Amino acid sequence: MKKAFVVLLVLCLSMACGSSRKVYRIEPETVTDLSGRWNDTDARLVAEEMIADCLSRVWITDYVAGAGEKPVVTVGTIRNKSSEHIDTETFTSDFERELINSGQVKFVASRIQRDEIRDERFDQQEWASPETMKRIRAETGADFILLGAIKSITDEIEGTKVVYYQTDLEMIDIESMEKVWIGTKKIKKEISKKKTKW
Amino acid sequence: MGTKWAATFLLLYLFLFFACGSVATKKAFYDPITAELQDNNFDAAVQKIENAKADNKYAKKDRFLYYVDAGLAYHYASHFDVSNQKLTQAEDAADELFTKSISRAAASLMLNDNVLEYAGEDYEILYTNLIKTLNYIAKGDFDDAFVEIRRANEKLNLLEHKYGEVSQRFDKGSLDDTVKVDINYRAKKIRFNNDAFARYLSMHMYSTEGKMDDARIDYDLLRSAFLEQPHIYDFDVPDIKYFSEDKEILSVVAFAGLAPVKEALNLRLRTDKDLDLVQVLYTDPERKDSEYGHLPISVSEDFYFKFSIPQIVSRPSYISRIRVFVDSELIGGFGAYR
Repeated sequence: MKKAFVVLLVLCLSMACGSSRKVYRIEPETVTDLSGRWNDTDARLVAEEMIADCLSRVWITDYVAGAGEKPVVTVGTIRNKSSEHIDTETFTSDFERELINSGQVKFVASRIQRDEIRDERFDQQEWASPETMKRIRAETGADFILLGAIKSITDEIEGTKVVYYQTDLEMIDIESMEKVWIGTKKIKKEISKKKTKW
Repeated sequence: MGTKWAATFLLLYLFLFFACGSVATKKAFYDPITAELQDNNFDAAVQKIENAKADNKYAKKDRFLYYVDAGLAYHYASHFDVSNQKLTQAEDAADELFTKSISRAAASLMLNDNVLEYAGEDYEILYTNLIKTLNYIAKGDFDDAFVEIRRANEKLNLLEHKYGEVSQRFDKGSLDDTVKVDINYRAKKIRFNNDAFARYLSMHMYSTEGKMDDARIDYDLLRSAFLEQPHIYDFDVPDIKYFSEDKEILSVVAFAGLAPVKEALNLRLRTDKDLDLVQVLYTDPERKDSEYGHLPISVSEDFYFKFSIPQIVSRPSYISRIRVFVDSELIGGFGAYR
């Protein structure tokens, strides 16, 4: 009886004493899985694989051989068709940066960026000096557009969940509608939750 | 020695009482919030909920309730971003509270169920996604709304798995029962495993996306929700369309009235070794000592104790009219409902 009371007392003490907050700085490349949801590690894995695949395929060399210049690419919509809120910009910006830095591809601004820049240019027509005013209708037209989607399939029973993510990116020739590159990255995660804790 | 034990017990009880925070049900603070909601003063309701939170009316163990209440009130007040934030926190809290605390369960044996952290009912957790769907639709974020619908569908799949099997086991047990037990334990009656509104939203989302097969599946599941759960949907399946050859479909969703509340049903259990009987009796003044149910099983001792189970109690709703405006122009309405 006495022991039971002591055990209960310890249990209650453990309930009463909460832990204080601690903050550590960690390397951005560190794999962190807390909730099991899509996170920075997944975005990085997708970007790394897609970039390597995209740069190693023949579509760039084929285009350069035919046109005699680097292909110009713009980023279109990467749709989120998964069951989590995923900011696709976290890996498309990595993708864009690495392709530009590779020196094999030129990028033009995305649709949202273009709208903002055009507003600025129209504003310049009214307010900037003639020497510094930028011309309208002098943009570089993209040869290719990058489109894609993230999809997920979830299988779940009480306490255990398996989520399968598939990211598909496609490079499409804007004039001919020809798909010149398709990249796919698959990630599968198992997330289990304890039914009890102290 | 007896005094020593009594003192230890009292100390332990007091310690448990303070360690576990509130062990009493506090609902009075809801009255002014409900009054504001009934008067369509949604911003005032939001303010009262936030004030209640600031005044510690929502205990930490009831954080799920706060997030749900606040999320819903912000939704009604058209603060869709804050509503999404609160409802996401509610969903996260429910996920975190899935893991039950053994220490709190032990404490609840000595005190009462209010010691336990409230992790939300299945339908409450599901509706966090459905309200977020409406928020995202209101904001014009179709993809984000679809994310919430997919999350709701995943929860419904889980419910089907969780209660479908239980339901089958209970049904089989009920059919095999040769002793004719008087307590009705058919799981289908007591558990909700499909939601017509979730199917309705999902159907329209898939239809808008052009995925007609998925829309048709949701349409079928919507009808199943009505047919299999008449205790929840005690009215005919509405005439619903998700596809039209020559017209656009305008779907109007309105929430009106007061939701039921969960209250304690206090019961008394007595065993009778001479009669080999376990009997459960009501304790409320109107039905005192009338029988809730009994089990004719062999017992070795005579016991007598009180216990409580949760019950859902309807609240009267008087809805005079639902009117639909498009660009400030009245385009239709519905008559009086009760």
